[in-house]
Amino acid sequence: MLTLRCTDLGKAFGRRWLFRRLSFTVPQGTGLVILGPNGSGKTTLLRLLCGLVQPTEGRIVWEINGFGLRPNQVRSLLGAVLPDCEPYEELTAEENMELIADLHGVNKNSVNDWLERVGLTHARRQFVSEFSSGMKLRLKLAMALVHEPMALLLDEPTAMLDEQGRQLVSELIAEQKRKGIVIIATNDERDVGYGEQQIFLGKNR
Amino acid sequence: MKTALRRPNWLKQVWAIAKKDFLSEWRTRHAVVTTLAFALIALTVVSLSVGSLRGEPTLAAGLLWVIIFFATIVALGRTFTKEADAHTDNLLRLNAEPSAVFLGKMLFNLVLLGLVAMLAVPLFVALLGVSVRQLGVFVVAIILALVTMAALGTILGAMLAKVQSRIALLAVAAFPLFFPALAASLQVTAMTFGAGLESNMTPLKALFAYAGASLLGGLLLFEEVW
Repeated sequence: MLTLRCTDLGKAFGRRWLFRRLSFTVPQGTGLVILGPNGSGKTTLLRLLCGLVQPTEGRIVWEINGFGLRPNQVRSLLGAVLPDCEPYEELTAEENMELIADLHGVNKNSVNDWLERVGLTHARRQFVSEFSSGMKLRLKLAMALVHEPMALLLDEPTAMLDEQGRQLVSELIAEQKRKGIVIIATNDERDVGYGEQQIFLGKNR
Repeated sequence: MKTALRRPNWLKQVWAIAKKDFLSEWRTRHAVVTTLAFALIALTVVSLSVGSLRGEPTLAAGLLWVIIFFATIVALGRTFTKEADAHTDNLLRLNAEPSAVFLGKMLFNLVLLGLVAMLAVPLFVALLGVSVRQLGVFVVAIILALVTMAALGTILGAMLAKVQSRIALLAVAAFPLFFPALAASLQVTAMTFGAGLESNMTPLKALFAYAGASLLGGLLLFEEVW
């Protein structure tokens, strides 16, 4: 049973606190939606939860059945779609997916399955540099999910998608919640329903 | 649960990262072209200005290692800069062990430097009329120096990837770190260009020890700078 526990979490850049004293617990099978205006720290909070940056104060613990996990164990648990976590433009969609599959020791059959799932089978041999922003987001979703992570962290997952794409994200989030945790940072009020819990950052907090 | 605690094969991660870098480089040819261009231009200028260096083993060895040092700086500067500029570095941070990133990148750097050395060193020997007495020792010294520079350069490249004026800083920061390897390589090279190593194997042993220490240090410390 996977659980995320954050206690008195705070992040400052220099002397400016982005947020302080954030405490929440996300149990398996649920979703958390992080809301707030631009610059309120939504993406930074996701990056903290991924271990890409360290909190200024407080603790983040990913645990399974009550046992805290080490950073190298957490890595295989997480899949993330973040704005500063891009696919390689000089590689094809398939090569990007194979890289992630190789890094996680996943069977390469999953690569084609996930490309089909996000509607990119036709573009699998196309260079990412030729992709539209919507196609790139679909690829990032597939790359985040190819190793079947228990926790999925998404930053503005529907921002660049058409209605069909929004439907896909909705289905993926529902599936992910059945097997683990979903955490979404968003400005879009239509995404609020993805989480049983909501956190508001910034002035409205 | 099985999925959650899946432990990926470390060697497969190393190879996946190196393979990705080889493929990227094959498509763009940026690092190879800039490094080779630098080495060839430097070689041409040196050979035009000094002519033959037969009978000048120390000067010849010094010039060779100046060219190799700066070619290395040009090559290593791009390894992590490219990742940081394209925002792909976090993709590696999220999906791979730091030590696997280090070794994968180092392997790529080593092959790149090896390619440059394979072209530049024979050209240097031919253009400047230098004779190599102990080819085996000479080649081993170059390989050990390149391993050292690839290992230390990979760590420095990661540290400086997000810093402005990174190439200039890399050259400044790399010199004191590379110095022991450069000094030992210089000695071995001068000996092989001159009378030979005879019984004095100390610089070669020092080079071997420094290459091993750089590799091990990189594997252990990379996580702290990544």
